Amino acid sequence: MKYMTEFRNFAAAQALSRELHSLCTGIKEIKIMEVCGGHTAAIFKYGLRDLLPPNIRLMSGPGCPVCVTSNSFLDYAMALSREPDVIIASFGDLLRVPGSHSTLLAEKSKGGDIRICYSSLDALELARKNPSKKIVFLGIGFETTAPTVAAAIKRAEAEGLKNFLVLSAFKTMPEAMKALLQSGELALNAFICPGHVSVVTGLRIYDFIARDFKTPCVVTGFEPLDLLQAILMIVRQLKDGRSTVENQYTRAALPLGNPAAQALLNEIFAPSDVEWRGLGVIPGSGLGISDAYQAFDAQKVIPLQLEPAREQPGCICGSIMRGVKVPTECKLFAKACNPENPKGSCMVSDEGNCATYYKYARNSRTTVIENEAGTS
Amino acid sequence: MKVLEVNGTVGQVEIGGVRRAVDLSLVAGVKVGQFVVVHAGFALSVTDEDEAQKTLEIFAEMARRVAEADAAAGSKAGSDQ
Repeated sequence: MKYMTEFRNFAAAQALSRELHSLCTGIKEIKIMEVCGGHTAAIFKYGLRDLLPPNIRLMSGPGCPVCVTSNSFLDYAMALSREPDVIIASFGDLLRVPGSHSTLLAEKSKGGDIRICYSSLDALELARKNPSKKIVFLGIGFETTAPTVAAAIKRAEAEGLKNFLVLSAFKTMPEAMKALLQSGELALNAFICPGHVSVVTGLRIYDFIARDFKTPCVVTGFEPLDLLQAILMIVRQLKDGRSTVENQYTRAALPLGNPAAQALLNEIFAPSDVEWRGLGVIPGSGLGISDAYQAFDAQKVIPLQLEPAREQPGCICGSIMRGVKVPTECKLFAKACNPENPKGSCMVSDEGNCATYYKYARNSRTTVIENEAGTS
Repeated sequence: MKVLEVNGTVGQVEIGGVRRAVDLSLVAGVKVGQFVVVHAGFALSVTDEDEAQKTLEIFAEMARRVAEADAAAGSKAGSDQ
C-alpha cells in the first residue's frame, strides 16, 4: 500500500534504532509521552519499544477518544436512549464502555434504539429517514473528529433537518497536554504530538508548550519509521538544549493545518469546560456547540437531570490516562477486565492503552521492566 | 487512501483492495490518483507526495550509511584475521 509499506522498511528502522542508541549513550533517562492512542497502538504493533535504547521511556497519554470520555457523558447518552422518540447514533467502540451503571450495548439489548455509525454522515442519513425521531449523535473525540460532525450540523441546517442533534464531548489536545505538565506527576521531557489532530489544527497549537514549558513537541505519522524518526528528532532537540515544535509528518500535516476544517470548528463550536476521565474538568478544553447552533445541541434540546456519575471500583483508567500508571499495574487487568468484558474504557477501543497492552504486551520484557521500575 | 473517483464533494477511495465512499468537502481541489488521509468518512488532507519522497530519501540515506559502515567493519574484521 503506497505511502504505508515504504514507511515500514526494516533496514531503515534498524538504521534509526542504531542512530538513537549511539545518540543516547551515557545520557540520563528521557521520558517521552505519545499523546495519541493511535501512536501507542502503532508503537506496540511494530515492537518499537524494543528498538529503543533503554534510557528512552515512552509513556502513553490521554489521546484515545472513548478512553477520556467521562462517565457523566455516558450516563447522559444512556438516559437519552431511554427517552421516547430518540435514536442514539454512535461510533461502535463507545457502546461497550461502562458508564456508572450500564453500557450503551446493554441498553440496546434492553430495547434502546442505538445505532452504530462509521461517520456523522450516517447519522444525518438516519435523521432524513426517521423524521418523527430525534437522532442524537454522540460526539466524542478531538480536533480530528469534531470538524466532521460540524460539517454534518451545517448540512442539517442547510437541509432544514430539525431532528439531528449532537451530544458533544469533543475535546482539544493542547489544554490536556498543559494540564499533564502542570500536574508535575510525570517529569516529561517531550511530546510526540498527535498526527491527525495536527492535520486539522496545524502546528502552532503546540507553540506555547515548547516555549513556556521548554518541552519539545514533534508531530508525526503512524508508521514505524515515522515514530522512530520523531523520537530521533526529540532526542536531537534535547541534546542540543532546544525545545521547538517540529514536523516529521510533512506529507500530511501542513504548518497551518486544514483551514476549511478549522473554519467549521470555529463556526459550530465554542470553547467549553469539559470533563476528561482521569484529568477531571479542564477549563476551555472542550468544544461545546456554539449559541448560534443551540438547536442542534442535544443537552439544550433534551435537558436531563442525572445523579452524579460513579467510577468502576478498582479501575485505574484515570491514572493510566495521565501516564502515571501502566495497565499491568491494575489489579483488574487481564483478569476481571479484558477485551471481551471490559471494566474500564481503556480496555475497549483499539486505541485504548489497556487494550493495546492486552493485545501486544501482556508478558513482554518492556512490561516486566516497567512493573519492576514502578511508574509513579 | 487513493482517490479513485471525484464527484463534487463526494468520492471513492481505495486501500488494500477495499473501496469506500468518502466526503471530500474539506479537501477542495483533490484529484483522482492523489492520496488522502481519511477520518470518520471525511478526507482531511491530501498527501504531499514530494514531502513523502523527501522523508523516504532521508531513511534510504540512513540505511545506506549503516550498510556501508557494516561492510567496512566486516572487511576490516576479515583482513584482521
